[in-house]
Amino acid sequence: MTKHTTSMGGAMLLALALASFPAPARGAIPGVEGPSFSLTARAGFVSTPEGGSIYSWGYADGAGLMQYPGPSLLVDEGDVVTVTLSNELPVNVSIVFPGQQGVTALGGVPGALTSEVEPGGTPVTYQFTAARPGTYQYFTGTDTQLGVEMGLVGALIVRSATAGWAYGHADGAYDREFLVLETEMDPIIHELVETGRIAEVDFTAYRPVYWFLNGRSAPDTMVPAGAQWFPHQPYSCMPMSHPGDRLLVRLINAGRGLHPFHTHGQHMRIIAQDGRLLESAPGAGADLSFLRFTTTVAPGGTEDAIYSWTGDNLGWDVYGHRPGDPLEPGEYALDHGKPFPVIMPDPKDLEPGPYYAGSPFLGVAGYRPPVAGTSPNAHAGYVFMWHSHKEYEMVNNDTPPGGMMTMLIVEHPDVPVMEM
Amino acid sequence: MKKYHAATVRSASLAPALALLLGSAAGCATGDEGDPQTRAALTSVFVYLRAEAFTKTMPDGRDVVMWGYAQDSAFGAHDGVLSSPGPVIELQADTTRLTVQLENNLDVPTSLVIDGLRQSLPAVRHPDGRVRSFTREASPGNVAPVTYVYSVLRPGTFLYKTGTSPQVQVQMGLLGAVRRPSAAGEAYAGRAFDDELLLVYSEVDPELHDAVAGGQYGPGLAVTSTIKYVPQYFLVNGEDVMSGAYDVDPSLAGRRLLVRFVNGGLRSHVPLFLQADVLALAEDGFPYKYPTKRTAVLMPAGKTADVLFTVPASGAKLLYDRMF
Ligand SMILES: [Cu+2]
Repeated sequence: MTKHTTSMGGAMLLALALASFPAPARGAIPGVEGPSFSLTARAGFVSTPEGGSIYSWGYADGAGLMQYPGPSLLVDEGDVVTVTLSNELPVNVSIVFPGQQGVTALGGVPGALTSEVEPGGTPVTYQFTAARPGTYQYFTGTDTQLGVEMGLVGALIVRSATAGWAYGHADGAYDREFLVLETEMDPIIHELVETGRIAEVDFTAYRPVYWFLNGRSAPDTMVPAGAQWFPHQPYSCMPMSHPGDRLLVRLINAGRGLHPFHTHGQHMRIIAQDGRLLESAPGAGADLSFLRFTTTVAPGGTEDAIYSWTGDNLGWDVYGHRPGDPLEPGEYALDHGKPFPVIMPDPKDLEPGPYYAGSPFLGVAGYRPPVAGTSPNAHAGYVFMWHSHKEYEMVNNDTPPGGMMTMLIVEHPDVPVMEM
Repeated sequence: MKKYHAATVRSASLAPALALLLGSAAGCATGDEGDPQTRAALTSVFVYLRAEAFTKTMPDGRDVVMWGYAQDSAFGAHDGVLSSPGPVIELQADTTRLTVQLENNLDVPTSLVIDGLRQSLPAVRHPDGRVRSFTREASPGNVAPVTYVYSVLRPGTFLYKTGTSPQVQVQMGLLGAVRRPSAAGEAYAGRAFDDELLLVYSEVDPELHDAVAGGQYGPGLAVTSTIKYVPQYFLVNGEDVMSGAYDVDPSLAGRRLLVRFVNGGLRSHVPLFLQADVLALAEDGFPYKYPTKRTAVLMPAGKTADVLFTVPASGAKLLYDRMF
């Protein structure tokens, strides 16, 4: 599927109508502010778009509900971070922090990779200095194979000392930031664990059939963050942009599989991997960054991408300007005033999808034949799919469309962009 | 059928493990003084490899027929120990020529290739024209060695393996590692190290091994292809430990550790470092012009990668496989 911005089903129509949750205090990525965290490993149920409910394990924020993925831990460069972990699961759990150095663990019992908390046991406090800004993940270091599958994963974001920079260099400057955390699930394993049959779990027969971005499968990825009917999946994955905005896309592969991730509309420029700027020398900036049509983040790893849509090189003016009109912010100037090169078909000949706004021009709603429901594209934005290029991962338990997929909406500069 | 099992950790300190690796490699490292070719050129390395079946008992008690290599002191000497992966072929910085002489004690033809090192490849074909082997073969029970010569060498980490019906023979275990430093204690130019760790990944599908070993593999037989490869054992240096981690001991703090990864398996694997990030030096024996830092190293089938880091005061953990 490579050309499909207007073909989604009706469930997605809910997407933009329901944004009544508070914006996060700092930054666009919702999460829990550090530097001290209290997490509890507990069980809960993950909802899937076709009505499924999967027993899962996850980290909860203190006394809160289990979350999938766990709370995004938001800290500042240089913070001394403490994470105290309690455990209500029937197995030992722990947390490891790849990319962090000098992590200490106090309490609990010794484990393979770090100290662990026994079921109902004394908590473990992990501590480290978030010495370097970047995008990281955390996950259980105890029976990682099972624990990661069950949901014991989350994001750790270390914000740069310079606001609006991902790293200590202007090459990481961004206008908006978004989390894209990839996971997958094989519900057979979850069912065995739920029914106390852990001994029967066979990972050699592992076959995931659900794929998630920030803990949700499409089209639920586009339901606003904090929606009440996703008590265990508080995060959405719905990037929004104005033309020319620099989006910082914090990609995390928190699962076990490979997910070739593709962004329609524009290539990604990969500026960092595993929380390290791709630089040839300290201070050189992201001079080793590279463009990617599709990027596959290593399981356990992260990448930071800058994505910036201007419509460059389309060969026509996305606003339908005449040559003498003023430029819009972020407009690709070389195409200014160039006419739209297509004769528009008669509306009677159109069968529009829900995102079609009735005109080819950004922010211009034209006549569109009526379709059921409310349009998720009320402001005539441009809609670009972001998804796994393993097309079979764009399904929910064999039912397409869904899975590891979401939509970027580029809005006209005059339209306020919601923080999702 | 291997069921879910708890993570196990190989907690041996690095020093004995390194000794083991270096020990197993020592026989390969020195040329055979008695050999005329070695006398002629002391920068030549001469290795006698024998391909043969052996039985490996897996941690769950199951005996699995493997195909592996032994390094003998001479052709026909049969004094080496069979293993899969086979013995490490050690080249020195000044080695200009590698000669491998192959003895085939399997009941099918086999051969040897080293991925990424230049060689002539006279393909061997089936009667219908399809390629059966990338290079000349040793027939079963060959009475004279089949010789493979590599005279264009470069620093790096490489995978050697059978070049004959590799879709069957590699997963049976016919694989191993080659390494060559750029100078003593230096992986690539300007990349010095104090200690070195070599990790060779592979997997075993015991049903497939049983079919091949029992004559049930091939056209018209019970198993006709390896397309339904379902590995049950996931090996690092031949041992089923991939669910665990390597413990880099804090006593090595401050020392520069080179880790060479070789994926001889058919699945992708991702070694993941904790408490340290590492400088990714090279892929497939080709050094990056500008190495970058990583914590996760994506290793598709056939890939080699070299990473280097200074062991922090805390030591470090190397989760063998985040994809496991
Ligand atoms: Cu597509």
